[in-house]
Amino acid sequence: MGSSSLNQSTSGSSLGEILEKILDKGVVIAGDISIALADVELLTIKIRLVVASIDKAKEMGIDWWESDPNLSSKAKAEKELKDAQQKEEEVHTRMLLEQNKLLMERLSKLEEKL
Amino acid sequence: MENDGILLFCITNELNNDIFLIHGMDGLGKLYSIENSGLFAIVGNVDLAQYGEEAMAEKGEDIEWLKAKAVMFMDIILKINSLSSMIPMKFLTIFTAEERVKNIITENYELFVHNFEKINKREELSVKMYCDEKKYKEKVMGDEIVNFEKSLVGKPKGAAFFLKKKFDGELEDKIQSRICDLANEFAENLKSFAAEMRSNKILAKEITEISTPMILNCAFLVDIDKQEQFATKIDELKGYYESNGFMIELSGPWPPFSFCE
Repeated sequence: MGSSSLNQSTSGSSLGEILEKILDKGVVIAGDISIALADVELLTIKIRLVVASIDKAKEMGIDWWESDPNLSSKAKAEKELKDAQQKEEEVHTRMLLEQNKLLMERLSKLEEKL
Repeated sequence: MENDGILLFCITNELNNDIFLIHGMDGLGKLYSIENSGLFAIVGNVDLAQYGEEAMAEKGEDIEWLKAKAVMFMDIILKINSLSSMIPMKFLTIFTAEERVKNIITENYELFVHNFEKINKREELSVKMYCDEKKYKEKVMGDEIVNFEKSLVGKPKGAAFFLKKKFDGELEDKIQSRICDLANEFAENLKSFAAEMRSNKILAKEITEISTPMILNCAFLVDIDKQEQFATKIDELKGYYESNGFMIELSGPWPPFSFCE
C-alpha cells in the first residue's frame, strides 16, 4: 500500500464516511422544517431489511424485476444486446435478398443468351 | 422565491468571497451569507416542494435519495471548508426566513465563539481500522496452534476433543483482546499529534461497504501544520498492522464535524 495522503473531495471518500458525518455529527439546531432523518444505525437496519427482503423473495422464487429492463440493469443490457442482434440479422437478411435478386437477374440474362 | 427554503450549511467567522461562487443544493442558485454579530451563516436556497415536511416524510425513508443528497451536501461543505474555517451543521437544517437564521446566531453566539476558539487552524482527520480476524489468527497465532496440535498427538480421542474445545475458546478470547489492544495502541500513538480525539461508533458493513469488520473509528482534531506529521506517523505504524490482517484508512481533512457542539 502507498503512503497515507489526504483527499479533499467526496469522490475519494466512502459514502459511509459521508453519511456518518452528516447524519450523526454536525451542530444540531432546530430548523423551521421538521425533518425526521435516519441516523447511521437506523440506515444500516433499513439497508439490511431491503437486502433481506430481496434475498427472501428470491428464495421464494420471486425475481420478476431481474427480467424487467426498467428495473434491472442486467436485463436492460440483455435486451439491448438482443435488439442489436436482431437488427444485425435484419440487415444481413436484407443483404442476402438483394444479392439473391441480382444473381437471379444475371442468371436470367445468361439464360437468354443461351 | 416563495416556495424556497433556506438550507444552513455552516457558520463561519470570516468571509471569503469565493464561497459565493459555489452552487447550492441541486444547483439552485449560488450560496450566500446571512450576517449577525460578526458571524456568517452560509446558506443556499432549496425548493420546499422537494425539501418541505410533506415531501420529506417520504424522502427521509428513501435510501437512494438520501445518498445522492448526502454526497451533494458534503461536496458543498468541503468546498466551503477549503476556503474558510467553519462549524458544520447537521444535514438538512432548513429555515423559512432570513430573520430566523439571524436569531439562531444570536441564540447560539457563545457556543459558536467557543467552537471557533477550539477549531482555530485545525481540521478533522478520520482514522478507521478494519481487521480480518482469520488472517490475524493465521499470521500471529499460527505457531501456537501448530504447537497445540502437536501436543494432542497420542492423546485419547475424547480427551483431545475437550482439550481442543478449551483451546479454541481461549484462543478466541486471546485474539479479541489482542486486536482490541492493538487498535487502542494505534490510536494512542496518534493522539500526541492531535489537539483532541473522539472515538466514534463502529460502522456496520452495510454502511462501510467493506467486507472486513471495522474495529476502530476515531476522529482527530489536528493543527493544519501538523497534518503531514500525522500522516507520516500512520505510515510508520501501519507496516506491522497491514502485514497481520489489519487495514487502515485515513481520510480528510474534514470540517470539524466530530468536535463542534
